[in-house]
Amino acid sequence: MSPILYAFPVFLASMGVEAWLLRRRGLPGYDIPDALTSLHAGILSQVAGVFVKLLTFTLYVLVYQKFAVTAWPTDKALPWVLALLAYDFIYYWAHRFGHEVGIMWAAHIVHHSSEHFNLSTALRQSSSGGLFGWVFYLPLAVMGVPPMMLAIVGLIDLLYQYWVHTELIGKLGWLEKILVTPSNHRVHHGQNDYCIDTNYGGIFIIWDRIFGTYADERDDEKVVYGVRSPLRSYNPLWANLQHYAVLIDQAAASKGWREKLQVWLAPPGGWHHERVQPFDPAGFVRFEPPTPPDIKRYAVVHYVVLALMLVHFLMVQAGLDTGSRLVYAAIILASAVTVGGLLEGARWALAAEATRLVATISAIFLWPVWFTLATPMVARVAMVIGLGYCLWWAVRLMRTSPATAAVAPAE
Amino acid sequence: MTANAASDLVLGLACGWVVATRIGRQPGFGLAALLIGIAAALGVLRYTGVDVVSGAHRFASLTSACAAFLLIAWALRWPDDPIVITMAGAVRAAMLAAGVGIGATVLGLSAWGAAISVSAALLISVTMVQRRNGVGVAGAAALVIAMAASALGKAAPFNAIVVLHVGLAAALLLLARASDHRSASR
Repeated sequence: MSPILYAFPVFLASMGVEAWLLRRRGLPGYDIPDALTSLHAGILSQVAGVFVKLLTFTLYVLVYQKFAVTAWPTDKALPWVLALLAYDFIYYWAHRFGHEVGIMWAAHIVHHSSEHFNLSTALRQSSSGGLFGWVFYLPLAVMGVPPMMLAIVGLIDLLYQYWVHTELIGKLGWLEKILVTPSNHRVHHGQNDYCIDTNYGGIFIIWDRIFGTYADERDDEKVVYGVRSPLRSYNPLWANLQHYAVLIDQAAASKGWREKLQVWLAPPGGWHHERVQPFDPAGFVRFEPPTPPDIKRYAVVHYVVLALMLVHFLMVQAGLDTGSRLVYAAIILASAVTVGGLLEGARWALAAEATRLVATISAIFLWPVWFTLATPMVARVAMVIGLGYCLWWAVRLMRTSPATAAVAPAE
Repeated sequence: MTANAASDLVLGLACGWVVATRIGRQPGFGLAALLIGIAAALGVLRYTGVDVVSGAHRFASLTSACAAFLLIAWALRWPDDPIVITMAGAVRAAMLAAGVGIGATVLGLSAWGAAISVSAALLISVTMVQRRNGVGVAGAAALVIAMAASALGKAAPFNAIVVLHVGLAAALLLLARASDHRSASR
């Protein structure tokens, strides 16, 4: 099971504390649709990770078995410290490539697509990033870092980065010189001119200082979060695919196979470092469609259900055949996408959500065993009643939602 | 020092010269030489008895086979391409080619590196012949001889490893010179 799941309750509790503290200090609080989009993207990345990491971790293990010069001892502290340092150094470069190489930016952009910055943003992870990042870590396999050691230091690096996604903590004095902190990571997520392509570190910011990509947070210019080509959607699938679509369009418009290839390898600004349009922080308008409060509540409830499904999926997926795994993943994906559609008032969302609920109710009736989870009749009846209530709730909400009035003119 | 180690040293020195003279002007060519040079340096250690680097030498050789010859072919065929004239482009192309190649090899397509190397040698040969570049044709011939020796391996009536190393060294020096001719004639 994914170790991230053990951290999941801590994530949720800390987000609650952060939201409470923000409200108490009179600061802008969580934007529910934005936070849910981040959490949905996090769920999709965990689901995709089951398939992607199976391949990439296997590749690491195979390279380790075939080429490792030695095996680092795991019963001493020093190899762990060195492995963490080496991992973080490579993370810096993998992350930097994630911003500076077209196809890798297409994978990573999802993490930067939020125009808010809070702990939920940390969980807005890419579903396809793992497809490209693994190759950077192969030198560690050759050096002899055992796969389990790599997995653990990688997890430490990832979990460290959670707490730096907050506006609650200011500058941390001398720590700013050594570590990635909330202050210097806010700069990394900014789209202000001075923030672009800076502060790539995972745990240690020293790599940025060494390689010239460090930028300090400015007191005279508030960081505006997000990307220059905004997502403007709460659809977590589109958040993952958005920039791939841009690259496909660019490749289609390019002449000759070499130019088409360059589209995927070039930096987002092009090979010739075309000047980025100057950014005016004062003129920035956030994506905030008028999502009715009832729909926000509905989406929160469904996020809880989806989170439980994710936990179950990750617990049982190893025992499922590939087909069942894909079907379960598709159910989770469809759920996240339709709830995202509800949040942004998408025209297709009403029909999709009703279909999803009817299909789920039917599935519960037809399959007494839900992906190895044998549910007693009483539980199935309770689930059907709950989902039936949701269906009624969804239809009622859609009837009253101004955002979707266009799809139900007679109502 | 064994013959294998000495020939790897020759290859390493040739790579060092190419890196020193190319990395600024043609980063693509320079990076290719650097990859081969790393493999050669590890080879010197391996063949002088430092067995611990054996895995690293094989890994570096595989990386070279998957990426370096492709970069050289690219540099000779399309000398104005961003992959050739910028370090950023060269590194990206090398990472892509190496990632795909290493992945394919460890997953069972063990001939991947050889197939890419031979394809690159073919492209280099065709390019040099089309451009009537005598030095380049000689370099391509040295490359083909080196690869043929590598393919023969222990079946060869001579020390195939030495021929591979010396042939690659000659190929690198000649092809680097050929790329100068190309640059001058543009």
